[in-house]
Amino acid sequence: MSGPELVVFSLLGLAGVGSAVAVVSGKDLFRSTLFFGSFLLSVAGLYFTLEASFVGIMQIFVYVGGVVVMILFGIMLTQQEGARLNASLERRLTVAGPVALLAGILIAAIMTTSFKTVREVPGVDIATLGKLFTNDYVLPFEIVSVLLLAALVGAVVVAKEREK
Amino acid sequence: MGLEYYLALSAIFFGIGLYGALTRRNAVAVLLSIEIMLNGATLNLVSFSRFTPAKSTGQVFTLFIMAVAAAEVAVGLALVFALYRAAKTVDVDEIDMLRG
Repeated sequence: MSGPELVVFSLLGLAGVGSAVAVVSGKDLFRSTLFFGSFLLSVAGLYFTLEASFVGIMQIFVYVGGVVVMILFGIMLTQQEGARLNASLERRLTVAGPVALLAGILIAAIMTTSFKTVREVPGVDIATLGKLFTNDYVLPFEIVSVLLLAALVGAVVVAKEREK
Repeated sequence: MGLEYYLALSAIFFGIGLYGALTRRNAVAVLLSIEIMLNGATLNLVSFSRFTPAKSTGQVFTLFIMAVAAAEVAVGLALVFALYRAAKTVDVDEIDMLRG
């Protein structure tokens, strides 16, 4: 990575980390969800810098357009006055230590490993992805569509009010 | 170069999500943290697909993960609603109906 690429990566990375921290530490759940939206947008931006434009667009459609809206409904339907959002400070500190250690070990391992990387790979176009979905990965593709249907029907059944 | 930065960033995302999943008390907030962890994992897949020769597979699986994550959120929220109706709370520390 060089010059402008590094600048764009750093900006998107900072925006992502900042909004992710706001999501897990904010006191207002509604605001946390809006920060979750900006986290998802910065990850979509990172996908664009990785030349995965279709994945980035789908990230915006499915996550920002679908998941965030659904979670906002979930919050509004289950909101309670005076409910505490965070665990006690003691518990937060006991969790933060091991988690930071885990992330540190991961990053150290990543930085010391030499990956066999290719420098100039042209981006994958939608046609290639479409061919993969309808040839190599046609079975998982169909299974995922059945899974989605089953999950949505199941969600309606679980959330429906029971008749007594 | 380059790949390491993306992998390190996704490790940070994963860590933040894990912290949130373990410290949040609201079930919906736990769900949000789990989504952050999932995004860290998919960022990993897409960066490998950009920087290594077997390049499209990572994107294909990222799209699969997105579909599964959408289903997961739908089922998760339905469970939260059912829980709210049964226990009148969504505080994960107070829900211990299955405790013996």
